Amino acid sequence: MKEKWKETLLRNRVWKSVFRHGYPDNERLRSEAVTANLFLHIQPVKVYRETLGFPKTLGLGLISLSLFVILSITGVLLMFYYIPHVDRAYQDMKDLQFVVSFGVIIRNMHRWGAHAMIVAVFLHMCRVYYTASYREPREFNWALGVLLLLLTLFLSLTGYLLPWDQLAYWAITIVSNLIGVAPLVGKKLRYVVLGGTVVGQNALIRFYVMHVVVLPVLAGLLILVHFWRVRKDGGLARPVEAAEATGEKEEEAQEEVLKSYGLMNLVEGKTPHVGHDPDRMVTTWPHLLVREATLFLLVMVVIMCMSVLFDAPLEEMANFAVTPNPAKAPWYFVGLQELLSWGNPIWGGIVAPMAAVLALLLVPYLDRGRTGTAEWFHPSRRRAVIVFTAIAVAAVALIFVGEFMRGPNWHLYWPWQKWPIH
Amino acid sequence: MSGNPIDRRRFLNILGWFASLGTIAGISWGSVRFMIPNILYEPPKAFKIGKPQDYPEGVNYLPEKKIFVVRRGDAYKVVSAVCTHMGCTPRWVGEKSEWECPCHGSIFDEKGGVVKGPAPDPLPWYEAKLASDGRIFVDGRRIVPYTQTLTVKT
Repeated sequence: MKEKWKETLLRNRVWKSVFRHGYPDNERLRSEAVTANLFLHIQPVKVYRETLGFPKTLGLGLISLSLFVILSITGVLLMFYYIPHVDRAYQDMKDLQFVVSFGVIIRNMHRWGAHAMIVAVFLHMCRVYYTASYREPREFNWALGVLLLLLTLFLSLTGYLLPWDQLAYWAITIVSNLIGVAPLVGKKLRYVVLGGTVVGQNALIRFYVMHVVVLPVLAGLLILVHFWRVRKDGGLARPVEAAEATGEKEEEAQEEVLKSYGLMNLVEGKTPHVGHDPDRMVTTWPHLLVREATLFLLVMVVIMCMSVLFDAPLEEMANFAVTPNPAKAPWYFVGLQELLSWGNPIWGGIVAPMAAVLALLLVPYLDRGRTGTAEWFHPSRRRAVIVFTAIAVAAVALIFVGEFMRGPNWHLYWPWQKWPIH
Repeated sequence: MSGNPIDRRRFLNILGWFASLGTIAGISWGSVRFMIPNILYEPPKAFKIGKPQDYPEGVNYLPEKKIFVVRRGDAYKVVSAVCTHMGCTPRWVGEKSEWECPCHGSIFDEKGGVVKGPAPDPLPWYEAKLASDGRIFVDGRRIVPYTQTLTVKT
């Protein structure tokens, strides 16, 4: 009976016209399932079994992608109701919260998903650093990753203004003045970003266009290139030791990048060598795909549960005459705000963040180590690990102080201490 | 190739490059210029406020204009209510005679001077004049020293 259904479903003309092959239940069809599919073929036909393990990557890249997908879908849904006009935007947010069916959940998913994506992308970067997976030939992909981290932050920032409430208005006022601090071009740049001198209608529509078109398209393209390079750079980083154990030298490990993809294709370079590789590899369909699908569903469930349980904040409508006390930037920029409150804004607002980005971009080119690739916290990398951890902890500490320890007039309070009523 | 330093093919090649790059540069410049607005629909920087007697002794905050009107007897002064650091609105704290900014904790004394950072500049005082209809005319484009006051006998 089951066979008969399978026969009818998978062996008819329509199915064949779409997929060209039957259900991939043998190795050849499994390869074809990947290579013949536009969306799947960014992945290799086979992957190393050792790179599939969750502890190697913690699935953080995939979690980031899952969140990007969730954000794109919920974002498009929100666009159906949201009008980026200073008189309408806030009312539309209220409608989404109280009138539109499931509006509040969709909005919550978008907000919590955005926060989660910043965390996921940051942790993904930490993972790649701590496992030294950025080394040759993956240096450029690390740089792409840094750009994607920045894009994620800009996406969140541009979205932050759109609800047009007090939180949004003053956070963006602070950040826009931060831009104005930049030497020479600051004022001009601020004028272009805001489309004027104050956060008003021009700023709202500019942030909206950046948020819903420019930045997502850019991020989507970079994500594709990022994945493409993962594959072209030889898949996920593996310990060199493991490669040597099976008789491969490192150069050969790179050569093998050239072979294999169209399994039957003739390629230049070495002839595909046989013997050890296939034993350590499994087909992408189903081994990798099933893991990806599971993780995606898991991420969606978590974000959905959060969205059901917790509502995204929405304060009073933006009022340019009343600054909330204290007024804070979005949490991922509140570390910067904290740094700014210490003194000269050029240092805290421009030099420190620029230096951080530049240092990050240079990481793979400065690291000359050969040992410990694809291993967590390898002892030979102790110094590198300590330096990175110190900077990461400092960044998190700044955010913590700014977010939880700053009260009215930016005075210091303990997180559990009550603020004076005024 | 003839002996000419530039033969026809090479000339056309160079011309082609110039045309292509010129087109791209022109479009790019135009796009960037497009993003810089030529007209703004923002609140004006020079405006009239109420009559002098509308403002009681002390510091009056005019939220819709983002200024403070400071009255000491017959002397009136107008100071910006936009923190020179990040653009938040400082609050007048009467008992300490100072403005405190809620965003980054800058403090300005009663003359607008920076007492405590991170604000880089003092709060600017704006020129105030008496208009013909008896209202105060504030010109936010003209920064005046603290000593300049508008004196109106009431």
